[in-house]
Amino acid sequence: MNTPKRSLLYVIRKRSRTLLLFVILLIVSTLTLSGLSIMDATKDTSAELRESTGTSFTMERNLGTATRSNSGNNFVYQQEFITDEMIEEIAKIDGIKGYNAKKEGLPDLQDVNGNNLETIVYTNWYDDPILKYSTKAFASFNTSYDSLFTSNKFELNEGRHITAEDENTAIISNDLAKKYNIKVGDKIKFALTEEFVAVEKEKGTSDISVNDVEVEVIGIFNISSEQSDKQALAQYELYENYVFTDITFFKKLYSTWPLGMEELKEGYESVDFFVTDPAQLSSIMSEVSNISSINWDNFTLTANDEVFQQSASSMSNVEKLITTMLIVVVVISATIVTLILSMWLKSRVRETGILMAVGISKYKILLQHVLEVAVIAVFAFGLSYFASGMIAGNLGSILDSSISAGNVMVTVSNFILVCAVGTLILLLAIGISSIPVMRMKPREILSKMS
Amino acid sequence: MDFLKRAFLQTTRKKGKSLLLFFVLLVISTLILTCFAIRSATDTAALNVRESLGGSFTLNAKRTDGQLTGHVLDQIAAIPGVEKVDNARSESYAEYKSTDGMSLEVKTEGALMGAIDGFEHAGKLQSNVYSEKDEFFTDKGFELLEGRHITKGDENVALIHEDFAELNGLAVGDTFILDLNGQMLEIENYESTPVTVEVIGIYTNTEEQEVAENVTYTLYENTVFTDPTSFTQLFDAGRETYYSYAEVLVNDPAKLDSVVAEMKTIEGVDWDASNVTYHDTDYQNAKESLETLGNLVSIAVVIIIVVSIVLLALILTLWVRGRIHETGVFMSMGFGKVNIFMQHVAEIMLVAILAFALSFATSSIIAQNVGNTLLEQTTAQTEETADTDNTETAGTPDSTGAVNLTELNISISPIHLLFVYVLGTLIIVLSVAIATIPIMKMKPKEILSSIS
Repeated sequence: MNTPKRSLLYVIRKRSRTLLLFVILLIVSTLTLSGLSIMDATKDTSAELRESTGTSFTMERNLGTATRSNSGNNFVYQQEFITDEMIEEIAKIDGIKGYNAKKEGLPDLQDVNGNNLETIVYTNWYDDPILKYSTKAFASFNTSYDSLFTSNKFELNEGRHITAEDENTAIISNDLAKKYNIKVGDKIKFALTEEFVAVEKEKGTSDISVNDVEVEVIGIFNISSEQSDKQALAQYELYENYVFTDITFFKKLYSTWPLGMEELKEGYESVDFFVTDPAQLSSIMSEVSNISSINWDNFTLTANDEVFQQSASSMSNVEKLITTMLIVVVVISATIVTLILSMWLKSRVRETGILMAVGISKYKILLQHVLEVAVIAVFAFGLSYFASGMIAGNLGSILDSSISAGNVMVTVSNFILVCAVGTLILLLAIGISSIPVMRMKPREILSKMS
Repeated sequence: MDFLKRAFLQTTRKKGKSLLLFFVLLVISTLILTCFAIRSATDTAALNVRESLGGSFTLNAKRTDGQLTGHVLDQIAAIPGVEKVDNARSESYAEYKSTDGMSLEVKTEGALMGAIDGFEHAGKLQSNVYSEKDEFFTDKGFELLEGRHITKGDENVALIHEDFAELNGLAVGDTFILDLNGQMLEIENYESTPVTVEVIGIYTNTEEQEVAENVTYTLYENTVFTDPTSFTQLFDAGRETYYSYAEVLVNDPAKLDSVVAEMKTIEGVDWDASNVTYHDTDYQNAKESLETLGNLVSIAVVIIIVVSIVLLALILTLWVRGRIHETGVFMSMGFGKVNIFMQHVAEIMLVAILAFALSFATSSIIAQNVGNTLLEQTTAQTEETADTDNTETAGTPDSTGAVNLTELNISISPIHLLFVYVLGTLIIVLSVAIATIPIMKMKPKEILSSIS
């Protein structure tokens, strides 16, 4: 009778023992696998937690190194602006998830047919034909990173945010949308109206002409923070009359006003870059400051990571604690398997003695034990893959619906890890617990038994 | 030989087997105890994250007609979970006069239009317990040039802009009058209660006023800061000093709702007319991730406990079933079933008591090591430097400028210890019962013949 056959017969005959070892291996590997999956989910969630601090850095024109010239009573600073090329160069760096820069303008609101629409009125002190229709428009790369939205002063409650790819789009306030029954997907116009042009011409601007641009409303925001001193504000200063648009729209609108266009072309005063992992902020910033195509004498970089700095140590504590707990679980699981296998093999001293006495080599006896366990382990490990997947998913949905089953996921690499380490532990456990028995002569073994 | 003696002999004779069982019990109870300790510590760590993110709300009681008195602020500060009530203030407009009743000049250039009727000599009036905490000084770049800030206990004082001082020839130590008129308030035949204030400080603005198109009375240059007593006197002489706004800082932003709910039970204030604005953006952003982390820990602990129970039950069953032969012999010798059962339980309990006791030590050591080597016991520093309490009466001046975090303690609590001991004993008794019942049902002869 060869060794594999003996192993198989043992496993089949001693059904209850086999079942017991199978169940124990299944439980322990399921526990370990679930633990590893939860550890992965913890890492992801911790990264999300850090990301939620909205850490960014700001690139700004350096007025300290600017040329200053006096014009009347005011100083005029001459300094390079931040260009689109610079922004693109920086945005390419790994770890930067987005950026925002904005330009302001005060275009007038019109319906699609070109009729002027009066904006939201708070006081009637400003009964001025020029200001009546004006809005405060921001041309923005990415409104989701705009400080008005990140500080929760405004909340987007319909539609979507403007991104760098958008052209001729707008996000307007709930109040403005209600007043003119504007819905997401509707078209409106912004204009340099005849009245506005007339006033500018009076002031001495010669090359300016009437223009209007049609935009699609892609989002509507709610104002969640009350503006102070409302009665003292000009109509366009009211939050209700704030409008977010894209850069393309601005360029189109101001194409008939060279002075405004020039301002648009020169670039941005400052740009905010948002990072995925705040822990990487300083390395990303140093990488940015090494970009050779930008003259860094003319710009400054400032980190905006107060929130992260304040909570970083507590956040890392949460992560470390959970990770430690799971490491303890994995280590203890391994210990338990080792203990149980020792128990298992110790009870077979008599059998080992008999086998040795009939002349079967120690090596073959060891192999038999290994094969027995291997047959059981293959099934146990295999089943544990599905069992842990089910446990992780179900418990996740029972405890809180916000954790989707997909969040705690049993990955193949973790499964391979558990199988490999599990096999190693089993081999070691069999090896170690066999040493004393193997050293003995068959006669010693048999005589030692009670 | 009674069952206890038999159990003792079995345990001491079969040293190897006893040691093995001891280790299994030790390891499992250590595992559960450690997990419990870490779980509690994780809750504290999450609380620390929330505390360091901070949360507060602005109480706007402007429309309550002066009901937000110092007395009410005291009651708010006493609500559990409130860190402090800060920056109690009011704002309105006032007309400025010299002590001999002549109107003072205000700046008009830079304003969008001429003065509004009644506001020809008026400006913005800010009332603060501590003027250095006013938004103008903290956020909008106002700086004190001369004199000192308004502080707790000041009465009949004012801070004025340097341009306003120059325009009217006022210097630190001079006095002028804050007044109101019927046109401003839109009340006919209004009888004002003017207040004489002493200039104790002169400030300037370091940033340009953002809103260029202002009416004259909102210009920075025409803004005057005064103390809450003078403010109250001006608007409603004889009343208890009141505030329009206050910042309420809470320790744990997750408790904002409950603090506000409790605040609204304070009597004497028309809470329907007041307005609360939360400042908890950082917490709101982090909330979901934090809760998910907490849930992950719960999942892990549930899995660990269930698995431990099943594992222990299995091992014990295996343990008792290995003794069928012995059981049969005892039964054939006429020992009672209960007696045999008790022997098995006693054997395991002898080992278990030692293992459970030691598990307290091992898990404490693990917990302590985790605490010492892993965790950063730091208090988050904030930029806040002011260490003064900002209401006239509320709270104690104890804030050090650092967020007070709860100390992170990883220790084995008595309740968890008790839980593990009771649960462990229960599992032992049940496992032995389950394993022995089928054996006990058999006749001794059957048992002995069924053994291969």
